[in-house]
Amino acid sequence: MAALATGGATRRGIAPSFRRAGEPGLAALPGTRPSLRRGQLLLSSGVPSLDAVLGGGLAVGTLLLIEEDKYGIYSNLLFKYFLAEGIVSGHHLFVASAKEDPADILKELPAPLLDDIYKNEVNEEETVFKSKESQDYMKIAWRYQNLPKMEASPAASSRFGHYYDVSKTLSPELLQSTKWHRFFLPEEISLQPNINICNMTSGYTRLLQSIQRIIYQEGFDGSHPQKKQKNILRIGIQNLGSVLWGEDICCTDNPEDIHSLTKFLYILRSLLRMSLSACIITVPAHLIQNKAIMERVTNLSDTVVGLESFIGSERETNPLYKDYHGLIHIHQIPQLNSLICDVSDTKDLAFRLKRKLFTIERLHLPPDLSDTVSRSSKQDLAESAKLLSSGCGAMAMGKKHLDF
Amino acid sequence: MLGELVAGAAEGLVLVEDTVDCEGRSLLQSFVAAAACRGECVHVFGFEVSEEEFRGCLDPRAAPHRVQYHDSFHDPLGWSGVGLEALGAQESWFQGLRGTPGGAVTVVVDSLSWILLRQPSPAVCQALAGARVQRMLVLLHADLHPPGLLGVLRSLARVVVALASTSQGLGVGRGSLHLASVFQRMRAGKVVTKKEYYTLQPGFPPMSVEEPRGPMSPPRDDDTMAHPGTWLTFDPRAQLTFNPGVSVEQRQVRDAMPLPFHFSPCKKLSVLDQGGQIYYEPDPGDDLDDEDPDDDLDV
Repeated sequence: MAALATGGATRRGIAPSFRRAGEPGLAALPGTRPSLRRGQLLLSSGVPSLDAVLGGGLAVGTLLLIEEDKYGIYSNLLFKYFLAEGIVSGHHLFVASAKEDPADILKELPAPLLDDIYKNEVNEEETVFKSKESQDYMKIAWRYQNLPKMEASPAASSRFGHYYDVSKTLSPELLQSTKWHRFFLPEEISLQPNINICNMTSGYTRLLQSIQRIIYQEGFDGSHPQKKQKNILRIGIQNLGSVLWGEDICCTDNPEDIHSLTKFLYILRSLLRMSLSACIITVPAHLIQNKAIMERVTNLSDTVVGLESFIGSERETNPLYKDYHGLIHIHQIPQLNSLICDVSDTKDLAFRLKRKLFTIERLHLPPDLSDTVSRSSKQDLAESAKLLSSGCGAMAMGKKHLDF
Repeated sequence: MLGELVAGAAEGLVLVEDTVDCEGRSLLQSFVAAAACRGECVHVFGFEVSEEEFRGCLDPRAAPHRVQYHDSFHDPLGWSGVGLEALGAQESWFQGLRGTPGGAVTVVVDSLSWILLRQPSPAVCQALAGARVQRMLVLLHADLHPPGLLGVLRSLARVVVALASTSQGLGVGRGSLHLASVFQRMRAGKVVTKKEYYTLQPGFPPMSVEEPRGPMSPPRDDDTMAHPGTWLTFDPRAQLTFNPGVSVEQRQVRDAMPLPFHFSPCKKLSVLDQGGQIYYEPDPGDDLDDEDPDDDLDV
């Protein structure tokens, strides 16, 4: 369905005079843009730097799996960014959780940043940065200073990715104008205590039935062609595979039904492929005891991103990692309509959360020094990292008596 | 930090993990005593010790009626067949948990290990997560469960207190020193961990003590080892025959110098051409002749 639609969109791009009468065109879907490389329709995941790492965005009809960090803080944040992006772009939402009430989740979504506020913030940060570094600033005789800066600042209206302010929550008016659906497992169990379990954990069965019902009723799979405006459904499932969904893969090595989660993902992905939707799932991968399950789950998902936060670990105090809050591992990027996927060559990515920005950057680790220099103390590591990672200018300036 | 938790800062699910070396029931009792003194309603579900033994350590001056004890120790399988107890201890625990009023109520479970060994863990965790009480204190014997289950319970809990005994040998009994590792999940997504030593007198809140420095404790490392790598402290200026430094005036002059590719307006004016004139001065060997040699041809 999604492939047909994108085929239509590209065809229209080549020969605009052959516009079919009456069809609004899928390129006009809010909050989406066609991929430059493969003709897929892409959605923003809510974090522009994550979009860049994933190759432009999340394709419609695919599944984004996030392996949670140890305390679930940053994975929850990515989950909220995804939902907030859906609200700002005008998509429909489906929020499922077994731990928190979906209404509480939606109340805590971060507020989007407007254009001028973001530009002011960026300029402020730049001036602070410049004043700190003016004595280290070295004039170089190159022309690059005169060139305009290549900045990934958000474009004007109808842009693709938005920035969010974590300290503020979404305004209630914006929430009310959104159409969203909920699934809260304890509520569903209390409403319908007995359900015939079709060889899967009952929580998963209910969730799949609920998703299928919403997709059919709201016409995301094209079953109501008289609907005037097509829209995207963003599905968010929090903490799938944890104990609260009624399954024990996190508790023991030999769970009762080892294939429950994999069956769920298989059926969910078929539901996603046949509708205009995208799904984000957070899984507590560090708690799952049987590693084979995570391998299967990774194979059954499209995009898999793992988060590793530095909280509580010895890396928190390591000066090498002091600018960052954690590492991000891209385990899998899907190969949709192509033979290869564009995996970036760098595997060391780290993320940093500032109040208004969640950035993913390359982690610059210092190179291995020669044998004669001992690296046993962290002091040496930090010194060498400082010298090498900030470039030639600072290297000359780092030790002031070497200035010439 | 342990003292503050006992005094009421703990909210949500509080997990107290004890081991064979260091028991946690006394800490639980001090929590209960502090809550009763504050005037809160406490429901205790006891599976492992009798009511008298549990209450024995509570302060008799505190109002005993505030502490409501659900006894499952005497008849765990419900053979006496009276009312709720007829269901057996485990089911009665689920019922009792659902039946406790919400709000400023503290529920104490002594211990959760007993239930986890007899009931499927997903159901127990769902019951724990679904309880709408202000504070839920559970005692867990960490030795009895696989690490996966411990990880799951720690991820569910808001506060985790892991107890360990110290090997200092500072006396046995209630007054001995213990080590508590407290992990607390704050509201805004922050996480606080702290390790502290404490002693516990029965019925009183725990007293935190600073780390004891016994004769066997490792020495403080104030005197750091000498750096084996000395290349960072190497001063190259000492060996040079010229002065690589820059004085302040020299730096100013250097900064004022225009760079080759930075074009100031006057420089642009001088470099760009004003017209299309070509100026040529003839060389000595040049033969400049205005006549066109093609005119000589007779074609």
